[in-house]
Amino acid sequence: MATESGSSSRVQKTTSSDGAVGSARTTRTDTGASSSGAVTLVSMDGDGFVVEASAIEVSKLLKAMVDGPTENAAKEIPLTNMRSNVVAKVVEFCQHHQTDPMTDIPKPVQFGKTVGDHVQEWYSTFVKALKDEMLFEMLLAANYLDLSPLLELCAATVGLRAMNKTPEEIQREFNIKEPFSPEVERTLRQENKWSTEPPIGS
Amino acid sequence: MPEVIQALLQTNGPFLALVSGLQGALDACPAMPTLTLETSIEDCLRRPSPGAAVWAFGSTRMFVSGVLSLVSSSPRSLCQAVVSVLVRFVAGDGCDTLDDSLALDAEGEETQDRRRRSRCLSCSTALSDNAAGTDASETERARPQCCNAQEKRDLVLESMLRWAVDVHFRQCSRLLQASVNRAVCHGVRQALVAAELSRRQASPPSFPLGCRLLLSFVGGLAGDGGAQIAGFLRERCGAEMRRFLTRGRWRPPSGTARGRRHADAWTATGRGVARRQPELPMLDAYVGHLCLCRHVSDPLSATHLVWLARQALAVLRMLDMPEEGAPGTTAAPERRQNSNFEAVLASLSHALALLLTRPKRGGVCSSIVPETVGNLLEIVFDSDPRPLSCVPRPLAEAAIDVLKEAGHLQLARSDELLRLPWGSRRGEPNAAGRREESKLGPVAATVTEEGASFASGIDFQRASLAFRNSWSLAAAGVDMQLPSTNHSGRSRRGDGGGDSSDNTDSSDDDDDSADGDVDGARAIAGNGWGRVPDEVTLRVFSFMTPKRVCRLACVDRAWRELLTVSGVWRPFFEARWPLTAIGSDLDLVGVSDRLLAEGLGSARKNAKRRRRHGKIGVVHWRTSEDTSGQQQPLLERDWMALYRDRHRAERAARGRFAAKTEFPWLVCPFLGCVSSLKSEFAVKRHVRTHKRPREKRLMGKKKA
Repeated sequence: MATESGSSSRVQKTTSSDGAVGSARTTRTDTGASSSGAVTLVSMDGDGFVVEASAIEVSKLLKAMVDGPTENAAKEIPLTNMRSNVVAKVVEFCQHHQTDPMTDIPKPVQFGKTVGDHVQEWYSTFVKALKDEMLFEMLLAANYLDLSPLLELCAATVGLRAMNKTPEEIQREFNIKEPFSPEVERTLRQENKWSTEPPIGS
Repeated sequence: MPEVIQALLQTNGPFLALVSGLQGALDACPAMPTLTLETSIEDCLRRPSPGAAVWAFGSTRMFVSGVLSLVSSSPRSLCQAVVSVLVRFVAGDGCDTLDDSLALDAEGEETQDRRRRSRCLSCSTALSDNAAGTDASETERARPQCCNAQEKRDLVLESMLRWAVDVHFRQCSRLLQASVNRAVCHGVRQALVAAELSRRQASPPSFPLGCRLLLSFVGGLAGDGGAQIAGFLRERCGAEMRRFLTRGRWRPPSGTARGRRHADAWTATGRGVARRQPELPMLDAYVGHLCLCRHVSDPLSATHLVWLARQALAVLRMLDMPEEGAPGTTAAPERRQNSNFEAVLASLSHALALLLTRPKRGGVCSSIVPETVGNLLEIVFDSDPRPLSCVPRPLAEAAIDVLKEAGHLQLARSDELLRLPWGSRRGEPNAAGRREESKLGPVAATVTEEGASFASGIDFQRASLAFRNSWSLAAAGVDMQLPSTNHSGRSRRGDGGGDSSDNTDSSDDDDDSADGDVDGARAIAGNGWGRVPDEVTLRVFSFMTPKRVCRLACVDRAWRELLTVSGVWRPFFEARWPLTAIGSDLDLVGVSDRLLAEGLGSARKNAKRRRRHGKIGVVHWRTSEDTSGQQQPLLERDWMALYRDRHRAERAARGRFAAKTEFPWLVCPFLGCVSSLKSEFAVKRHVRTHKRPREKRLMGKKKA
């Protein structure tokens, strides 16, 4: 799998001893990580990502796991519900956030504005590069890891995708397949009619 | 003062005396940094000779209880420090270290070795089968214990739980409550991580009792920690359901490939569909959370309850599905009986009953629910004398569904009973600020004999009292052995049997130990909102304007439910019309200070302050139902209606007055009133009506 954390990473390949996974275990080591404060994040596929402990402190969950006395701190954190590419992206985000923290996104996002208007260019490019499926995985990963900046970024992107779309378009966009019955839908539209009225004077 | 504390820490005195000393020192010097305290206390705990008095405590449980009870009345910083240290012990392997430090050098080397060999260090139980004569270095490695590290951790957690309950319900100061809640939530989160990791490695998975109890408590707390843990509980609860279903209670139809594999596995292992008492601790914790929601305000509790009820329905429907090619194909009722699911339904109904009969506090109850549903539930649970007219609609629907499926209730026209009249929203304030009466007739429902016996078997008062006294589910009369449902997330919104069975099928073909993870990964891999938790959905919605959020209610059933119960509308309302004690909108039309003082009394000072800051707002008007002087809690549905009505009124006022007169458009600033005001005189007169509502005026006239 290609390294997605940029040129600052090098890849070490080691074979895992557990036969259950049955695949070669890849360890990606960040060149800047010192061995003392390094933590390995192990993805669902068995790939290990070695990062500086201080870089992942933005995630409350990971911080809680690596926190504490030295002898009790986790050196290897299994993230069994995340694929390798997701973990790689998360690591990339954390490393960049350590050097250049993301600015806050205002709520609600104004009409006509995009995420790129509020955050730094790197974050805008980062989130634009994510495909639909990947974006949802990142959203869930950020929620699981309690990684607020990434969660905000992904949530704002998803929210902006749903803006200015009709319910049908949103259903298509997000693959929602539980339509209301025609009567219920009519009632709902009637109830929510006020939200579709144009502003006075427009 | 830090020198004094350092001196205290240097002494080899009893730990409790040390804490007492610290308490006194902190009283005199409250500015001691918490971090320093934490380090000091931790050092003290780890020191090899903490003193004889510590050993007198004997077990971890007593030690922790003692420390916690001592510090619960101490300054906040000490309290936080001790809790942080304990949390660290809970999350890591600190319990061992704690015991080591407690045990060492209490009574000399020889006595200590003897004690180590004769008693468990955690629970002080006498041990008989020790290897006698082990030397000190071996003892360190293989100490005689009947409790493992997990159990010790549970003891600490359980003690923390009891302490948190004490703090919470003894009306301690809010600051202390907040710090305790935060610390305990943090502890739970760490314990959850530890449990999750051990669950994935261990087989069979186990979830500790102390952690379960703690979860059931903290899950009910309001705030972020409570919501997070409730979400976690729900997720794990779904995983347990899947495991339960794959382990023999239900088999997939053998005509399918999944069913064949399942049957092969059963034949190979020689296991039958034996009665097994499943351990579903997460479900217990979840139901515990729901029951605790009765006592605290949790706007999401209705959603959780609906989810639980839907899960139960899904399992019922699965039990009704025929098993193709199975040797002993039986009828649906028989299968239900064999599966012992009746007991589950009874327990679930009981939990529902407990929730439905909660006092009018917090988020679940409101006065906006159709009275017919309340009457219906009153008929079913007629042993409770209190009227059940305040039940949220989704909760009522779920309750009635469950009761119908359980055979406790037969409805003549259930659909029509629950359907809203065309173009109206019963029970919600209309444009004139009044609530409409229900247009439906008396409840067309009959209670079956089984249902009547079920209802008569519930002693609500006893259950409620027992629950309050002991804070445990067993004491509340809720069956702890609750096997349950199949899937988390989307299945709560599924009404059809096929839908839910499909969900279960997808999880059945995996091994017991790994099915949860693989399922989760597969679901995550797919695009869509299938596995997106509610809190993430709300986070997404938070970037939209209220009008856009309102439109989203038409997209998905789950979104609609979420938007009606989840707490987004009050922030929207307050962002647009800040709630103040008094609105300076009144100044726009020149309402005199005298009138303000008359109408709103002591709020005048606050109003002037807000006026200075340039904030205009809406008067938070006391509703007429309020007799105790407290503001009645409003549900999310109320806030949504208030927002909509006010928006409409402002829009109408702007359209009506803007073109014709120069008078600034104005809607009555009182919350819940959307009258359009045309002149200064009209405003004054209108404000007087709020001061003395019509009922009061009529009563005054009668008295006169």
